[in-house]
Amino acid sequence: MNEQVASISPKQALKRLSPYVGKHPWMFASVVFSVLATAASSRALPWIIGMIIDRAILPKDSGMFVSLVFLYLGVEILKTFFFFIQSYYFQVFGNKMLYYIREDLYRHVLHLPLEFFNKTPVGRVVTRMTNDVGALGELFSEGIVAVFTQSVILIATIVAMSILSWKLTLITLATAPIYVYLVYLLTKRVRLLLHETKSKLSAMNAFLAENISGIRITQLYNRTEKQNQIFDKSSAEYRDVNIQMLRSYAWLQPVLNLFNATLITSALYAGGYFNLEGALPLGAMITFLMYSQDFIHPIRDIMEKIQQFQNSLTSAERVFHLMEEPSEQDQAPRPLGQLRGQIEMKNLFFSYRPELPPALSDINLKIEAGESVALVGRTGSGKTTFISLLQRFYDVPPQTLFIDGEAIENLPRKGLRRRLGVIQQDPVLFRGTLEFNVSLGHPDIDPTRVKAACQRAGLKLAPDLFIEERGANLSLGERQLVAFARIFAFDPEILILDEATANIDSETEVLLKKATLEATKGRTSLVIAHRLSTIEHCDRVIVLEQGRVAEMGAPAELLAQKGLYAQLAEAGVKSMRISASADGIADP
Amino acid sequence: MAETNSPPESLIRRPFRYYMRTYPRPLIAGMGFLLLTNILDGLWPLLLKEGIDRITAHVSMNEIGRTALTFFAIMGSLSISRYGWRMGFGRFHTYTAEHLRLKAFRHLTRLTPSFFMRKPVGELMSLLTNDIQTFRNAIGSGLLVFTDGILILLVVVPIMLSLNVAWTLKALAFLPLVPLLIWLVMKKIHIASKNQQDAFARVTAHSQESVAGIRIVKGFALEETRLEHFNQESRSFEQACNRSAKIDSLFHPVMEFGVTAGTVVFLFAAREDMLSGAASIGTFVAFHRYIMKTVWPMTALGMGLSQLQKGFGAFDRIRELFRESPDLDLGGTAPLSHFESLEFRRVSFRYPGTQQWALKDISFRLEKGESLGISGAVGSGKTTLLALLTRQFDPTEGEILFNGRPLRDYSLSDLRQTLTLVPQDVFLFSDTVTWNVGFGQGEQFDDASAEEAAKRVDIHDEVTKLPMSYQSMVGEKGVTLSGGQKQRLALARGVVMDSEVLVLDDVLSAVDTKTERRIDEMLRTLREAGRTQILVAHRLSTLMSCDSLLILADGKVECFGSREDVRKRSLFVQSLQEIQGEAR
Repeated sequence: MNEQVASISPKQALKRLSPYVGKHPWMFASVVFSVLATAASSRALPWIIGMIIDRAILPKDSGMFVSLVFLYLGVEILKTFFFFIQSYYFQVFGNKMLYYIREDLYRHVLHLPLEFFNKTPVGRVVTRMTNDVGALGELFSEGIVAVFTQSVILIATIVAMSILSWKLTLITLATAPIYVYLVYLLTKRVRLLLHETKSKLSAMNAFLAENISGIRITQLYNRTEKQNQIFDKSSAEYRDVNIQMLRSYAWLQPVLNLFNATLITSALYAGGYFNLEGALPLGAMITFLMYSQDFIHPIRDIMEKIQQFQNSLTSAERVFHLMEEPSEQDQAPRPLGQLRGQIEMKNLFFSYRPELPPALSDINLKIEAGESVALVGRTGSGKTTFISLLQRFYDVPPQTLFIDGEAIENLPRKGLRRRLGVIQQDPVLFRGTLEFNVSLGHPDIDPTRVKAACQRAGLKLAPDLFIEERGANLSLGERQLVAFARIFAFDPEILILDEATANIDSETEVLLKKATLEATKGRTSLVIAHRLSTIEHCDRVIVLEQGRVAEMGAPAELLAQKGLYAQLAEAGVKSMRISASADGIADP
Repeated sequence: MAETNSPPESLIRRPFRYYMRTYPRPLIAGMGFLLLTNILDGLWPLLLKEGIDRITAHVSMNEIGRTALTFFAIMGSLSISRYGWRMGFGRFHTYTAEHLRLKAFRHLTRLTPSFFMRKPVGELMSLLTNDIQTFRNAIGSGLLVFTDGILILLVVVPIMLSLNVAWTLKALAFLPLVPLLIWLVMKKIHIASKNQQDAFARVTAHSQESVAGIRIVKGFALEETRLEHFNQESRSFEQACNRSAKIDSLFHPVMEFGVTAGTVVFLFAAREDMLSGAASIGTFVAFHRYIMKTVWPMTALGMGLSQLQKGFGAFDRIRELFRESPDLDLGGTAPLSHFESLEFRRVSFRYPGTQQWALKDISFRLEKGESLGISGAVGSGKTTLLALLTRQFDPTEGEILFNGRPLRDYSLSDLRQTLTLVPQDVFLFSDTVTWNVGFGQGEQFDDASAEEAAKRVDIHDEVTKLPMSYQSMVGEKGVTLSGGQKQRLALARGVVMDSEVLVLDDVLSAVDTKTERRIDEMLRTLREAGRTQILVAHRLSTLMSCDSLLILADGKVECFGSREDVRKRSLFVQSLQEIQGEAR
């Protein structure tokens, strides 16, 4: 599998993150200070040991010995304190940053046009907002922060060594570039293999998830053994790339070990020489030896983190990319007063993309305020598009669609949508109480209003009933009634109802019929109707065929015309439903 | 890997011992190299002491050079031994994890629907991925770290004692506390990260809802209220992360506590000896180094214990899975070559763990070549009846006779060869159209065979419009198909099985009327060719083409008989007629 390479550099990513960093400058500054303080106090400890040798043991100064040990203890305590501050507040700082990023991203996503959601699977959008933001956090905490702190340690060590003896430092570090380069190569290989391991793992997990969900089919069709063999293969591939990765990791050991051996041996040998020459006191040499041990860990860490940058950067890029998706253009938000509910279409042509054939062509019609209209037609005839345009989910050519005589492009999207109520075929319910699902958290809709709305909808459930994800603990009929209750609570001037096609038990069916009648009263209503009995209650029927209005008129008139509507109705007589569709409000 | 399917008892009982015996070589190699590493690693501060003491004694550079070389040689050998133990342990836990994963999956595929009814997919996934990984961590890094800790102590402590008994006893006094503290901190880390995961799951669930319900969010202009709600979840996730961070940041100080305290105590203890010259500076430096070396083993003991504990906890869940066995008697061996008759004899059924009868006292009979239509209100037991017929469950009471013998006399695979069910809920795999249609077929099933089947269920034209025609990917990650298209592909998958009895569970509910009529026609042709069919349907036209009808109401037979007979007697059919009109 090819590795995805991020096309943004760490620098660019940093630049994108900097406004978030700037939100808490004092915290950032104190954390950076703690990093410096930790590095300095850690370097001081070996220095004190050296001083104990040179200033106390060699001159046999007992008082000095005791004071130095107390100094040692004090520095240790300081070091621990700064370490804790550095480690804790860096994470707190990162978490704050992620909170702001999540908020911005979430707000942005909710304001993206519907087109975006049609072409992007739900799972992908959710991953961007959760996992990818998390990876962005890792880029910060594991990447940038770790590289920064380890670099500070590295620099502090070199500085401390150079103060002791810059000549010895040069000799000791002479071979370092070779080892650093080797470590770089190995960590790069580890990163590539890690990527492959992940993709093999996710392929294996996808197989597992699918096969557990579909196990009944596998068993019914006698295919268990074959699927097992496929799994064996997938599992073996995962194992092999795992072993490869282990091997690369293991190779790091000899390299780092030789590096370490070279460092300390040359420090010992050359240090011994300088000491004999009298250029370096014994304690200072021992301090130097201790410092030479402090290289391996930061270098390895920096190399590994730099590699991990690559992985996190791809996530960061995806997040930034999503933030750049153009959101819905809207007029300056203004509250839209009550509508009358008159709808008019003049010469309306609409296609989803210029290269596609029009989804609606040459529509000319006027729906008066308070009228109820049934939309009828086969799958793909344009019913859904018709309704989406009313909600301003897509933009029509200017001056073709009017609400109350005003061109729709001049009406604010949010305001307009508030005056338009929709009942979907399979209504969306949120996790939360029934009351929340009716009021949808809207501050104007209080519990008494919810109660009244439920009553009008004929919904007999308790307002505090907890509704599971996607309304799993309610039947389809009940979910529809909840959607009706929303309409009564929000009281929009225009109602759009997509009737359910699925079988609903007869008792609920009666309730739904009542609710439909109640909801269409005093509102302009557009019903995508599947039941003849519903159509009969409508003032007018609009029959769509391939995006055009094929027929229009009162239900009885159209039946008498013996045209398309009569055909559909006849087929419906046999199947209880009109129009051969089973799809809900879903775009092509 | 041709093995028996059920996991061996020795694995279930003592997994660790089992895997030590299954993969002894990498484990022994790993342990051997680890021991070697620790001995070499334990020796080098002694060499350092030699070096420093020689330098203090002002010996010649030649001698210092020799010490430096020995030193380098030992450090160099460490390179090899460190590589060795990594690979040894690595192989051991990787192979173990694979073995366990395969065993678990194979075991799972043998279990029956009643098991999958109890266990949500998510839980099983977590078992096969997280739990196995946790066990792998235990048997890999947990075991390694623990052993490493013990070995280092076994090497380092005697060396320290040999350097200076008094110093050692004083300096190491605090150490035993460390593993305990680490163990406690690890436990807290575990709880905190669990809370963090839960909070993250809530953030994800909220985003999921908003994105999936974007039409409602936009339709009711809920953007601001949703954002507010999201921010609450997001905030509580942030706080959970911060709690984790706090405990996480304590880990390091706790780990170093023993050593820090030990060093200070050592410095005081060494004062007299150092000032009097009783101990050399080399010894002083080496001893300091050895104290530093005890940081890791103490931490390792705590960490290793915690990982081992988690790993065995995870294995308990895996063990539970292994203890599950198919709740059907699968020993049937009676020969089954042809279908002759099917009889339900006073069959009653309760789903496992429920009190209510899903089916009560069902009796009917069907002969070869006949067709049976089944109908009834939602929840009347139609799908349950088919589940019993395909032996996904055994009846609670009564008997189902196939060719005059109870179903359990036959092997499941023979039975399912003779009888093909197309279930109501369509499930397509993430693979090509052809692969899915040929799911129950052999390797030689190609596009041409798939095309033939697709034509029969009237979906060929639509398939050719897909981007890659029959090689287009369908399923979760593939092209989006309508409900009706999925149903027809599932039907094609069933029809190509060409079995003697075809059982369709309301498979045309989302198909338009015209297509449905053509498929009805195809089914009729099959019947004329002598195939037996059982059709669950709601449309009168379909029902009225069957020889006999079985109408269910609340799990009981409302009416059974020839279609004319049932049409006259069944209230349900009469109400269908009222709504749908006379079938022509």
